[in-house]
Amino acid sequence: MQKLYIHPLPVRIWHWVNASGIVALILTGLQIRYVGAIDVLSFGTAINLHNWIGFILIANFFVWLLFYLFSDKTRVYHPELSPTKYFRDSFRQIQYYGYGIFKGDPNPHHVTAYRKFNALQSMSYQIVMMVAVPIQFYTGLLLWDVTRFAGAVAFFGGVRVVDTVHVLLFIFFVSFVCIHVYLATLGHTRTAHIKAMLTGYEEIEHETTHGA
Amino acid sequence: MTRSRIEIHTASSPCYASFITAAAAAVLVLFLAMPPAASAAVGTSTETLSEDDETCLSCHDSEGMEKDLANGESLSLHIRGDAFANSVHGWAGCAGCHEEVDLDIHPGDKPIEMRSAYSAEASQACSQCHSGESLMEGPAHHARVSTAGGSACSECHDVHAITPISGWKAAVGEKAYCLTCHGQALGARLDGGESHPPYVDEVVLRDSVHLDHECADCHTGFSVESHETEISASPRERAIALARVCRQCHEEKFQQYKGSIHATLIKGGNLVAPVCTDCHGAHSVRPKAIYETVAGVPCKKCHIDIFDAYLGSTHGQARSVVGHFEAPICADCHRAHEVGPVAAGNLLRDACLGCHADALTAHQEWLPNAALHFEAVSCPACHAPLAERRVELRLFDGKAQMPFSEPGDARQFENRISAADLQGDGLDALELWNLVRDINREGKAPEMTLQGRMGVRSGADAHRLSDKAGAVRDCSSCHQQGAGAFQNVTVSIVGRDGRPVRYDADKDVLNSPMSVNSISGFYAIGGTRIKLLDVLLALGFLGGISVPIGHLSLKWLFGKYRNRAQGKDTSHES
Repeated sequence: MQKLYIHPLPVRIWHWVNASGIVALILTGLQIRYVGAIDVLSFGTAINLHNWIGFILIANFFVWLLFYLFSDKTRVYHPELSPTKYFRDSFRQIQYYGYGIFKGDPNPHHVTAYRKFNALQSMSYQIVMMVAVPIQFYTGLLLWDVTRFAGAVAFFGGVRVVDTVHVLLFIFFVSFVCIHVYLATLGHTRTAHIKAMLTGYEEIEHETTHGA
Repeated sequence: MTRSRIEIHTASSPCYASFITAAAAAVLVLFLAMPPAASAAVGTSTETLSEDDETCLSCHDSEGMEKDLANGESLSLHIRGDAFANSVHGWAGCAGCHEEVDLDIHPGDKPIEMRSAYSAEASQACSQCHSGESLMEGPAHHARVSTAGGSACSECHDVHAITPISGWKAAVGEKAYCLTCHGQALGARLDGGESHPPYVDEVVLRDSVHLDHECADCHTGFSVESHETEISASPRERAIALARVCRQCHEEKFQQYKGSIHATLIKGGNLVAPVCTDCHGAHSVRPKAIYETVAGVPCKKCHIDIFDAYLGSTHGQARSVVGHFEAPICADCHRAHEVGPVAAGNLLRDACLGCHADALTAHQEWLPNAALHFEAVSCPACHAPLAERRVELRLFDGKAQMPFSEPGDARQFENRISAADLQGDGLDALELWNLVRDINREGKAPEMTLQGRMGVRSGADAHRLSDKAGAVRDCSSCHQQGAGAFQNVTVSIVGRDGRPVRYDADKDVLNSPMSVNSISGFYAIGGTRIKLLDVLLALGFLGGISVPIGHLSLKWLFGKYRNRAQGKDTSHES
């Protein structure tokens, strides 16, 4: 068993702030949307919490962004430029999650400090971090003060359009969190990946590492 | 409308009889107003009377002589001989009018039904000399002769003490002269129920700010010497036309009024809408301060239900305290002369903010998106907590950046909306979507959208404002599914007169996916949420947890096989 430092401190701080924040946003979001059906917090409190947490996560996003912009670790997000290799790796990864993992096959992806994401993770996180999260933050910002951003709101088709996009991404993140947490338990032990995100060190088995 | 119009100049009239009869009415009033001594000075002699007349008076000059009529009234038969002898008809003697009576034939036992019938019958005698044609030439008689049910001559001229006008006309002022007729509530009634000639209450006139004006200052064309006789079949139309008189002095107010909803309605043929005199009174124009009191505000004459609601409001209660002028009354919000159509703009919101200038700041302390609430929610929607609320979807011309107005015929757009409502039960989401799409497709107004605004359903509700403590602060009253605020939905445009033209819409249009496009500008989190997104959320969550559950289940099912394979690997390694 070998320990590999793959999660630098800024990334770990960002991750756990982001994780707890997203859960809080989902819960307060549910409270905001379903007043009457859910009455844990008052509507006003839920709105205020949602807004504050949103701003914290926007700031936190820039922790992640600046770290990866000014660190050589940014390579972990670099896309695979060879389509053949990308699709072959993706197919192998799907085959592993869909079949190989059940019969104890080793994870086809071998983690290194600069290649900690498998092909599926690489694609997913690029979409999440470059598209879904920024759009969700931006639409949230517009909804925070519709009058202040009236021009942008009108440009995108009105407050109902902006809110619908925000809610669709909210639904996406609900699904994403469920699956993300489960995949995080598919290390060589149930808690291996979670511990790695706490300590920074991933324990690498010789041939059987899984990814979250 | 039928009108007859005769203008006479009494000074140059060749008709002496008409002159006399016109003046006689005035004389009567003057005569009655005279003190007894003056009255007695009119004449004390009966020397001009004939022997026959003296014979009549031997009985009829007895105080208290009267006859009981069939309806219970009593008819005075007392005639003051001296007054009759000095009257303009003294020369004619009793038989001059009472032709059917002589010393042998006396109608003492003739049954008389009622006094008015007798007076009318007796007036027939007057017409022997004073023909209808000659009377029509004079203003004083024109109206009475030409209107149905014109009263008996004796109502103005007395029965026997008829005095000439020439003796006093020059001595009285213009106003007193006019009031000799117009100061009496005479019996003639026009179709609209108004009396004619128009009655002017002298007591009220005395309190008017226009007291120092002469009648002719406003009633141009009328004077002691000249009287235009014009009877309108519609006195209301005449009153509206006469409002122009006020403009002579109050041009600024007139210009303000000209742009008001009241003036617009008048222009559109609405005879009920007010003109100057409806609020200020025709002859009872009071100081401005009177109209600013709860007791004196004229708006309640037409808007009584709204005014009653106002009286119960925090504003009305404060204003009802005598001397308390800080709380607003009608004109403070709606303005006095340039009254705008309600619910067609931000006029009233701005009126609220005119006094409550720090309202936005105060709301921002606790209300998220306070500025948006100010745009999308009318003040009474929260500050009239008992009001029934409504969402109004206003068609908005994005190109012109203003609410869409009725383009042509007053009902053109309304008809179009009716046509779009295929079931006739209010526009549903698809019908509304089609309507907006079709309008935009025409290209005349390519950026037509619906802007939503929550308000209250009735004008009275809008005035039931509570104090700050009573206002709605519970966000869930709107921000939850099924909230009462979203049960009434209308689509509206600005009508030709500036007031909204509304058409009902199904409340579900607010929760439809189609509304993302058609009602893109109105959304209340929770309250108008799209139900389809709720379904998607449920599916998203189920999908999210199905993946781990399914995957774990498969792992568990494959566990024995996996363990065997891993055991084999282990044995190989060992």
